[in-house]
Amino acid sequence: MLSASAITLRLGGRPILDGAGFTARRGAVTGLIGPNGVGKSTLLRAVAGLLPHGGDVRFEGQPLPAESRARARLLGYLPQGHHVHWPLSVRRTVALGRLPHLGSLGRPGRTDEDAVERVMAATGIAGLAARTVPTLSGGERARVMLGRVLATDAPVLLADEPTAALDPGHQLRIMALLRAEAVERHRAVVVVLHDLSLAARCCDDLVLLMPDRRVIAGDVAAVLTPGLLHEAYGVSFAVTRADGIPVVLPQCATTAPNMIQFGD
Amino acid sequence: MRTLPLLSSLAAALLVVSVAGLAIGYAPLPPTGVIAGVFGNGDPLTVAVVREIRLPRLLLGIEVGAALGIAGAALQGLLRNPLAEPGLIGVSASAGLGAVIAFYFGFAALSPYALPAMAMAGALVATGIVLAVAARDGGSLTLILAGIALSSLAIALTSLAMNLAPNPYAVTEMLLWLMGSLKDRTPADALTAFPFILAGGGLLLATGRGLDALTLGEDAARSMGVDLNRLRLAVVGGSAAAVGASVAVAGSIGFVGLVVPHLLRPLVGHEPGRLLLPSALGGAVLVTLADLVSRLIPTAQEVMLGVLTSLVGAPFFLFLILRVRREAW
Amino acid sequence: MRRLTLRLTAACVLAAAVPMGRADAAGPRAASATVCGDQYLLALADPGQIAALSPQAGDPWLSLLAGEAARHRQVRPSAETYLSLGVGVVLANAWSDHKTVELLERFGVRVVRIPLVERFEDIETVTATIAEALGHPERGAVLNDAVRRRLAALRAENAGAGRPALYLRPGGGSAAAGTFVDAVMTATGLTNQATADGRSGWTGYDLERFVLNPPEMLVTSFFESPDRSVRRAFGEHPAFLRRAAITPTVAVPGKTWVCSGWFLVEAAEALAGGLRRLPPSSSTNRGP
Repeated sequence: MLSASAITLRLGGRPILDGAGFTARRGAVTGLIGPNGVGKSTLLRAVAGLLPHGGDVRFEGQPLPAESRARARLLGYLPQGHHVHWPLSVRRTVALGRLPHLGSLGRPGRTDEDAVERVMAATGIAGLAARTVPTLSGGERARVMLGRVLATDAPVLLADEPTAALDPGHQLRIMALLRAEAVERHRAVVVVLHDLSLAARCCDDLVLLMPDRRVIAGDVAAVLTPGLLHEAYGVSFAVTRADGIPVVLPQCATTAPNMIQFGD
Repeated sequence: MRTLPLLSSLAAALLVVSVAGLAIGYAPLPPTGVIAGVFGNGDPLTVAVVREIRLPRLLLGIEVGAALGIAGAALQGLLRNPLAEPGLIGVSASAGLGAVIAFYFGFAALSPYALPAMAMAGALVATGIVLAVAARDGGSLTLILAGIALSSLAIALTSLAMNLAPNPYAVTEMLLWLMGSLKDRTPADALTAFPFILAGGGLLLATGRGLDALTLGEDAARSMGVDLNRLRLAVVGGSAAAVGASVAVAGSIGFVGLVVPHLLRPLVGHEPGRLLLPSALGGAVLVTLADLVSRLIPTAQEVMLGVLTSLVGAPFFLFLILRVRREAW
Repeated sequence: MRRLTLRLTAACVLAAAVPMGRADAAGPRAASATVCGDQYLLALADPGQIAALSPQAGDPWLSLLAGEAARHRQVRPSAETYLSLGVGVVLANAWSDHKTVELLERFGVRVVRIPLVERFEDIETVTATIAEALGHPERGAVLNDAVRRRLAALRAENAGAGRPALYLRPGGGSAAAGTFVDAVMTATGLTNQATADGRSGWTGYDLERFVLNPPEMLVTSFFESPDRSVRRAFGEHPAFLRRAAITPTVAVPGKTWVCSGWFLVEAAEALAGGLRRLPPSSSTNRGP
């Protein structure tokens, strides 16, 4: 289990996080939701060790290793956006995920090759192996990036909006891949999401960051209530159910004061 | 292309160019005499020409070319920009400033290492500034503009230093620093530059994995265990050592660090790490070849090596700007 | 004996200059913008006539009469400075400072552009022109006569005795027939190796051919300057130094032929003096 507690973080003197925290079970997908500017991505980056912060992050009860490569083998992070600065091949991009495992000479071994093959098959990009990333569609690119972080084979997976700018089919495919990794390989998967219905459909647990710095955690039904969502987003939501799963529908344009209060 | 065949081809090309560089010079020497001369045998005059004049020049060409090639490749990897080049971003000009101060104000006379040391200091400052200005956004425009500003400043300060120098005619030698040459370099020159270029090159070679990771952006690289500060320090320090030592003995030789990595990049699958060693070899081939050409062009004064590389490199640079503008990366 | 007569001729010129200058103070105020012109001003003008010399006039490595120059103001060439000094004549190089020269002429200043001439006959013309501009044509004639006499003495002595010698500057620059360097070498009786190698005019040697085909004798200049210069790579190369060390060498001070002026005769005398001090034969200079 991954547990982050009492995370505090200031950027440019402004407190961004103040005592935030969550836990993420292995074998489950935990969705990190909340309105813009509440610090979801910042929290994820802090947990990933990319931002200096106060508080405590533990995995299986142990503090994360201080050595950056050991930490990287434990904790994979998929940043927002899928930009690749050089036109690398798909295989090579995925293989970059093995970096934390490579020895001092940087030569990939049998285990590394196997991990790359497995991930490319799992994410359905084996057929694209020789293509270069800039020639791919958005959906393909998202899978390649996911493949890269999966190749690390880290027990903890942190993904920042992996479904952004994807069509519903690709969104569901990415979420299904993350779920499969969580269940089949017993990983703790944490995903920042904006689409609440997608979160409802694909996550086991939800962590809702509120503008007043409260953190609401629980299963999908416990978090996605109209009252909490209205508090969080400043608009009214209708929460219905389809096949027993909550469907979240924001109500069109409420009053102006709310927009100002909670707008970006 | 796999790495090993590529490296072997480049090594073979370097061997061919090197043999040509030894065999072809101002004085017609028989090939057998040249071969014997390399090993110190045969006609003493031929031995003198081969070992004291052609060999140092060739070795220095290899050193300088390798330094510029690998520094270009590493800077491009770090800044994630194919237009980064020691000359274009003001590093060579700043190294020249350090060298000029050491040379004309007598520091170079105190120790043979004062000249490369001050050139490396100049290169270090410039690389640090470029990094501070352009590393964040990785945008070509910022990088090129910062390079123009730095180059202009370094050239102006160089000119000022020459004005203030004890030698009243120092200013007339400005061009000799801006457009480098390997003419009449001594074995001592080749030996002085060698340890710094070797150390700088070694430092840069070790950055390959970090540069690969940086392809995915800074956050992804750090999440994979890359220490970005150490990586930056290694690239800045390694480039400064290699470029500084080159400029100290040969002056600025432009565009090598731009052209060579660009030509080789598709052959290594655009991987910044795998590009480093081939760029060093390719740079050595290009510079020794250009030096050979500079000796063969029948002008009254030998054509400056930096003139030749710029004649090839500058149009290439323009072409590259157009391409970078068109392509996403 | 010879040196005494030379000293005397030089003294004659200077002695002729000073008292006559006092008697005939009508000469215009004059300035020089070049180290070449400095030597003409110092030799031909009254001290009181000299408004300014070039900044290099006091450089002991470049300026033959640096000692005398110390008594005068040395200024950076600029039309404004010359005009404010009330200068009527300016000596400038024919190939530089075009804009300054044009500006001065627009203000009615007479500018003598000193050309780069290669023959002693042409130097006489330049000397005469400058002397006339300074208002002392007779001093030009005296100087020319003295130079002619000193050259005739050198030709008669034939210190070079036809031996071949190669002229070299630290950058590998040389000079063949058609240059004032060649004129100086010929005046001492030397055979110019560069000319014998089929070259003409201002030329240069590369290190390789120098090492493979070393000359029997070297005439060098500007090697003595303490200034660091990247152009000296040739002259500082160990391959050159090793060969030069075993080659009979006459070093002619650079200041005696920094350009072609009346003082070239000093270069010729320095060269002849060096030749006299060389060992008589030099057939053992080949070898590693």
